[in-house]
Amino acid sequence: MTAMEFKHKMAAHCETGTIAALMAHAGQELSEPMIFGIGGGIFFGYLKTPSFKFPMIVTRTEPGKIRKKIQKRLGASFRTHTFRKPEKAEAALDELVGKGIPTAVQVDMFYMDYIPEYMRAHFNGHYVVVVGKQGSTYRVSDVYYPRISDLSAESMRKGRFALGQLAPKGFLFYPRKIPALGDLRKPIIKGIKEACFNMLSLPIPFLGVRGIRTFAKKVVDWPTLARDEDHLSHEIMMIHVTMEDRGTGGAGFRFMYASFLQQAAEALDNGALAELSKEMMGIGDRWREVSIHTARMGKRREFSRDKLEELKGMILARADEEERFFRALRKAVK
Amino acid sequence: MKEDEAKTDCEDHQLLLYVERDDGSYGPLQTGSYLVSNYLDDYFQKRGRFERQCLERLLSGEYSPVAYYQELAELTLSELASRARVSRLSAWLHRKPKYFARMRLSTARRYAEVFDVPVANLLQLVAQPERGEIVHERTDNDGLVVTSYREPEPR
Repeated sequence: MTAMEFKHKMAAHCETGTIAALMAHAGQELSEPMIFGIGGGIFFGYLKTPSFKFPMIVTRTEPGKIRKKIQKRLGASFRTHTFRKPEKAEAALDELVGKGIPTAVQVDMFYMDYIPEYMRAHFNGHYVVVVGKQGSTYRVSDVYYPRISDLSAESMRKGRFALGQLAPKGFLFYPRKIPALGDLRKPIIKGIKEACFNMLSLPIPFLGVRGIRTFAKKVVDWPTLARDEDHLSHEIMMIHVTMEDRGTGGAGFRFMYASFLQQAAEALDNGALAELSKEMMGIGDRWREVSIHTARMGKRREFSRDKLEELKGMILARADEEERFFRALRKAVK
Repeated sequence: MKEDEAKTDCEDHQLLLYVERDDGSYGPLQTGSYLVSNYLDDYFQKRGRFERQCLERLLSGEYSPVAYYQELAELTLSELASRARVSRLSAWLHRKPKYFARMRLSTARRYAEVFDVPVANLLQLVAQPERGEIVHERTDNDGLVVTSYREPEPR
């Protein structure tokens, strides 16, 4: 049996929560919003690819990117490994856990059987921290779950070696060197500039603020993509799930970003950022209105053209707001 | 979002939201899911109807077991093919009962792993009892499971 002292804490998002927990274990406390903001995590994308059954939205950058940016901007070093063979991956994980090193692993959420069944979906970009092993059962700290859970070695193997999009390939990481956190001004500014670039300047029509507009224009045609009314209702309600329930901290990470800007305003002693953090909180409130509106539409099966046009109008208004916001944010850190 | 507005009573599905506290600072709040608290019944109704539709297609011979579980898992053809390590064409063919019956056992086991069901469940449907549950326990003999009925625990 191996077990270690590890402070389990719920977090809004798996990647930022996992990094925050590993850093805290290494003695360097940094808040989850700070990790998210420095990592330039805020984003918007409207995706329709052969890998998805239905168009979907994303409100953050791709999995793994925040960790890479944190390494670069804070000088932190995480040792990472991928594996070809599940046996070797399991042995490496067991060895690390045996040495008392909490180790983050990338898994397919579908196989995390401590999560209620209705929440389990195939998503290969989920991160959990393994903090012990007893017999053939791992002790897992999953930030979406209120307490440390048990997961069989078999489910862990399936989760780590699921194939498909973002296949984990047994990926694991753990801190090698976490330097003392000194002056955070430079990393904060870099994170903000990256977020502004991603939201305003990417020349791709379905990403950033343009992506929000594409989403608004396309959502009115969703009835033609659905197989029946139940399906359409489910997909419309998935907007709410993506914005609120899938580890975003609410309003598609907008509330978490507001919290980051408030902390950044203090670190940079920048009054403009303090004002912008309030503005972002307001934008988040109005995104939440959109997501609650979609949940009601789905429940009441209100899919008339007028209702969908109303939803389109609400989303377009968010795009205009975010465009103004990120332009002002870019100016505030110039 | 104000702290009071974010509070939702839902013990089964807890999450973390970032909220505005009374003193104007922003920080995390552990609370229940608004959607689960208000709309989970609707999800289960829709899911139930969808599962029945898929089952009818399976029993009528329109779907093979691969198609049935694929629909339930909401996987696209390309995602299924990639996860089961078969070509898209093979996955498309395996959705049809005629070609499913010609599938190799090793391929069936890969599909079963993707769907997280015993490989035997690709050839049989286990009727769920009204009370208690059906459990599948793996054995040391790779691929072999013991399927049994478990009485509900007394309250």
